[in-house]
Amino acid sequence: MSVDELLRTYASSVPALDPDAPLRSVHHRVRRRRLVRRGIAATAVVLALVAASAAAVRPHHDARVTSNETGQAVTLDLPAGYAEASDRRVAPDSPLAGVDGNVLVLYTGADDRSVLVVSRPHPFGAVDRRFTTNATVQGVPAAVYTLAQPGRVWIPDLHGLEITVDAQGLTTEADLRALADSLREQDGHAVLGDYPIWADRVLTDGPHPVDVGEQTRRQVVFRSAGRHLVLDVTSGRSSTVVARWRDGGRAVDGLGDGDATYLERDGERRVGWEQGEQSFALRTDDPAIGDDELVAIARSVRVSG
Amino acid sequence: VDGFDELFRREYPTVVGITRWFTRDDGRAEEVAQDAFVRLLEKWSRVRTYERPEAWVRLVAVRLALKGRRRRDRGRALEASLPLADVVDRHADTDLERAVRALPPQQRAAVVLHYFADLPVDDVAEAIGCRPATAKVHLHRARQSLAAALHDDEEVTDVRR
Repeated sequence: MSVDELLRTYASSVPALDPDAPLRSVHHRVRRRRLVRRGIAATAVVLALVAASAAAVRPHHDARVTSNETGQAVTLDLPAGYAEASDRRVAPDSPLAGVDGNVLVLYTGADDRSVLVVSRPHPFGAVDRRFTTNATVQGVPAAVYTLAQPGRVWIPDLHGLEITVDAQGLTTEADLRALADSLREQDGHAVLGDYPIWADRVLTDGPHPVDVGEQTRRQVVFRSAGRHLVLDVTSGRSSTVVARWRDGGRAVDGLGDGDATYLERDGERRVGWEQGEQSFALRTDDPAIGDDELVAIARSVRVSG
Repeated sequence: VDGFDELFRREYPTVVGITRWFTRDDGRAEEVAQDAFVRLLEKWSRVRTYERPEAWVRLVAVRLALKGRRRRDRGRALEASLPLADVVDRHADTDLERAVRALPPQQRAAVVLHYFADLPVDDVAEAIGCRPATAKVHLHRARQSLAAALHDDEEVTDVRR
């Protein structure tokens, strides 16, 4: 037998091994590896979407955009700040027509496209009553908050809150950018607290020509519609003012279309408007009440459904 | 998986027999063999169309075994220059095995890969990191050395392990 034949004969002799157990092991390992790869792939897709979306928004703000696996919705984690609407109009063919829910609607202005933000179940004060019927958006108990005119709205509630943006035809990437662009964090005046009440104006700098005759009167004006404002006068800072109410009668009052509402100490009072857009003002003519205190009272105002 | 299980049952013992030449214990040899079959199963839809799927898995098994061995040998200066220097180092149970063990490292590796793994010369060359012509030289010289060693031994009849 030649060496070549000897080697080939040797190669044909194989160890006696039962292949069943290792075969099962191989199948098991392959199934496991596939599952792991699918998990990694799914994670990678989500991360890629997150990165892509975040990259689109982050240059403007710290808004964090995430996505669910199906890509049907985008989640925004908006920083606290002002949302600034550049256009008040609703596009004639806007899908918002008839849409209601716990949403914040901002208008990009450029093309009348709307950004629909679905917030947590929390009633917002609404400016535009067209969107204030009881309804839900994507199953979320909802109220609509829109801007009646170009302006700003303080939306501290959105900080750290996941806001789902309906991506099914209502929003585009441009909308998301516009939403992020609309956020302007500004410290200082016109910060009206932790609730989405639109500040029409805050006049804290002395005489003003609006609807009151006393030159020393200052006021914070809110607008709302179809909701109750709950005036919480239990906070420490407002107690001084409340005491003055009690002692001084009408030093501070709330007005709704000219109807005065008196606030009481250590309690809550609902100021209800049932019809349309109205204004509400907190005001005082007591020079002992500083501007900061007045704003603090305003910050205590909550919106109740 | 269609056809895979049959190939596995037929080929697994052979692949283990091959990887034993590159590992120091039988358990590790089976691990490497199974690693190769895992890769085969993952690529089965493509490899099954090859003319010799068993050659594919044998080559992969050899590469995995060598890869693991080189990793263990990393840091050894002498063996780094000869990555297959100690490739066939199991206890030899037969005269043939003893003769193969006595071959220079590159020749031993070429013999194992070509005869026991049944790999073509090109794959042998790739596995040991040389040109095909060089691999042929290794095989030729190995056969000469084995012939000299085995023909001098009148008791060389048992080729089983």
